[in-house]
Amino acid sequence: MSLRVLYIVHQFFPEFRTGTERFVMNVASMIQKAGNFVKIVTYNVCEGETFEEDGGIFAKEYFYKSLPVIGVKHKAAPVNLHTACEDSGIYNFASRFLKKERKYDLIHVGHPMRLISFTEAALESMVPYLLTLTDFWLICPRFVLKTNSEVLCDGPEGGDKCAILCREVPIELIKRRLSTAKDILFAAKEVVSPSIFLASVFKKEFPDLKIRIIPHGLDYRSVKENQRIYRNGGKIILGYCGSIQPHKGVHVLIRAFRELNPENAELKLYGKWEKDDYLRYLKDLVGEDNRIIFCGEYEGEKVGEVLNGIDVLIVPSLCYESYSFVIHEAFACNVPVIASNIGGLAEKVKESITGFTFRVGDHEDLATKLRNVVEESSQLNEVKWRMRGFLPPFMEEEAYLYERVYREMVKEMIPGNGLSKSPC
Amino acid sequence: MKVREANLPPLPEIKPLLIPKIELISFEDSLPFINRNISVVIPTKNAGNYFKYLLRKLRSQRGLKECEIIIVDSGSSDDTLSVARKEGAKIIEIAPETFNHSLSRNRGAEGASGDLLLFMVQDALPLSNQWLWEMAKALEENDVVAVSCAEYPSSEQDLFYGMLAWNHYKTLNLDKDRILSWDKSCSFPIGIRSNSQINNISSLIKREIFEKYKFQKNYGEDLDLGMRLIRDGHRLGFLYSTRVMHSHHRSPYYFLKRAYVDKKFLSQIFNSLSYSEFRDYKKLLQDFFSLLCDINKLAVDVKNFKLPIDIHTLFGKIRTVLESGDGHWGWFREDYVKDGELFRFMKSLIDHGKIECRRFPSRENGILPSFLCHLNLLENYASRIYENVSECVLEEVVDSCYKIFALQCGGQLAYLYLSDSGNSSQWEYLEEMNNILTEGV
Repeated sequence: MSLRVLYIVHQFFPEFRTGTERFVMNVASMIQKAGNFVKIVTYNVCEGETFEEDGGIFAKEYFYKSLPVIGVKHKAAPVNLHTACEDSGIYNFASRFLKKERKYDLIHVGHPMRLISFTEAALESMVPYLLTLTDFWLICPRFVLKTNSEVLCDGPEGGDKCAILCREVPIELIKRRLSTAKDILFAAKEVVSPSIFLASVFKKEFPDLKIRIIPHGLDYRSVKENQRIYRNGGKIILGYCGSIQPHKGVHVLIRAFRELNPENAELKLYGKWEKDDYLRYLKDLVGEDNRIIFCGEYEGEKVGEVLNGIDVLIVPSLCYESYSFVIHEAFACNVPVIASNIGGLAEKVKESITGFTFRVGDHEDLATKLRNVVEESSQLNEVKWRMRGFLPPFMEEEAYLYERVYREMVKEMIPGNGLSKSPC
Repeated sequence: MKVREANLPPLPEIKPLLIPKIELISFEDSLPFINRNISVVIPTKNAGNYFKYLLRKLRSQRGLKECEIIIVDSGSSDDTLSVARKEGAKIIEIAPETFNHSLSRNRGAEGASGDLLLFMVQDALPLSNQWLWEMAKALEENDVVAVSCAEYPSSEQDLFYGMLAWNHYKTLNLDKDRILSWDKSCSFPIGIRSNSQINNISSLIKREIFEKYKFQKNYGEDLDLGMRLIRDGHRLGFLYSTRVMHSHHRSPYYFLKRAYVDKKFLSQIFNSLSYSEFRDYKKLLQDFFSLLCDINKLAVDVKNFKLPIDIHTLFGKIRTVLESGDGHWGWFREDYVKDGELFRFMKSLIDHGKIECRRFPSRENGILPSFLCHLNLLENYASRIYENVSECVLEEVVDSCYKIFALQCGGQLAYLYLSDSGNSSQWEYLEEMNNILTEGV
């Protein structure tokens, strides 16, 4: 039986293409390919588009490749658009939408921001929903579990921690938001996390919450194995692939790299920058050092080529990464990783097996690790051999696991004439 | 080269971070260990980019002892053998000219040490690390001698292959987990096919049973083994909820050859399978050309359709174009057909068969009715997935029309071959065609 699945995501292609959008696109495309009907509802923050008004909400339909998408936005966006856990305008729109459309078997929430009230409308329409955690938005109004004084936090603890670390946010607001988030999480038929780290943070806050782990999958059509073999003293190209933003710690990497003296090292920085002043800051840090090259953005399908042009990937994030696509792409391409020792990065980067970790934000410690691989690069051969045992999931695998969960949710998979198999 | 700190624009200084301790919780279920030795047998030839992933996925299966992997290679010229060696597989090399679907698998099984044998193809891929455990568990917990599982699409799969797979499982009542055995339905070919499903994309079988029966046919060897097993009272398991990734994006010409070989095989093993006998093969070939020309015209006409378009409206328009076609041979051009092999094969049919370039309006086309039946099937499948059609889906629908045509063509040519006694004037021509269409399938 074909399923009808509605995906909810706070932003989507073609304007936005970060990890969450990629995950939703991969899963929705594969679920469609497996013979099911899918549709995506997203919040469209872009101006100047042609929308039709529906009760204070603008909506427009379009296709992204083969995927039907409904882009919505408020006629007048509320001030708390990005943090609100309740939105009557979106709720009314969602209720009308779910009544108007042929009934969906389930709703899969890829990210609840801006469209969270679809969950309430789903419950009223008797449509079960699955929620995938992709970041900390539900438990942290700052999204990243980090205070505005750059201190990492390990969870709100019912809001008591926020009252100390984030005093600028009213505690009543935080407590109400957490309470609503809890209701939404516990009303979900399934809650899924792509990483153990992310699930652990939510379990710490809500110990009774049941969470499944389904890692994000990669599109292996873009994967190209890096087969380079190393000898000490040979040229080493270090690389960064990601957005050029302060919380990604690119400045930590540049500072660390500039501590290195050898001329046999080069640093390639790939990615898009959003703030010109940060880029200027980085360029000043680089100075006259022509071993450091800004390579700009690359299309997702070129990742295999990019990772074939570097020997070690550096991920110097200053915040928890709940699930880093790029380190999994590096694993798939057999490129060792040096990453900050926190969050989802530390969960995946195993010392001398898939790479190395360094103390987050500590450019001197990073410099030590970089020096180690630059001066004794032959050790990379062993790491690359061991990495083969860490094959990141395929996007087909992720979709297959989700489809199994979907079918459990709608109790569709009725066993045939007696073939039994222990539940998995 | 020291960092030049002076004159930097202001940026919030990154302070030393407090690193909270978040204890990672173990979420992985422990699987009850199945204490069986499994040998995996994979025939290979130029196995492709995903082969290394297949071997690694087999190595990472949980809840079982590490399995033995045996590849039976028939002359790979790419890196298949080095990949297999790197992943610790046992390699049996056979001469390409000795390759046979049964013999190569039997050779692999002879070299196996496991008490369960898993037969796989080189382009399949397990989609979880407990996939093999689920197969083995189904084998252990049910009184069956072999277990196979359904396919899951790869991202390369097209609409047409999706429709074929959907129709296959639905028609054979395999869209659920089932135990298969001989029953009253087996007095009909479809009942036997439904109940004999061993599928070598991935089939797990008890070694002592396999050694008694082995594979015997060069084509359809898995179905043949399943039939012999259920006839002797054995039961088989089929898993639809546990899947293995496998699908193709193949050309229309591949499907023409495949349909030709499939129809011949099924006619041989099911004596009761009926097919119409052809008396006027030239008319049959003229019908092919007329229909292909009309599909070429369709491929041009759809470019004028206003998109997005409702899926049923689209199929209605396609039917209208084809039902009003005039089979004008001027549309027989390679740049329309896109598939060069199909174009050349069709051209060779004209040239060798000395077919007169006579066009037939669609109402006189003997192939069109069965083509439209398959088009209805495609519409039925596509309308489960799409309500409205975008440009890329429209392309897939048109592409599917060529593949439906190819299926029709291959099937009808097989019947043409089978219905000829061998004494007709076209026999030499049919033999030559048979050699071309059976090569490499």
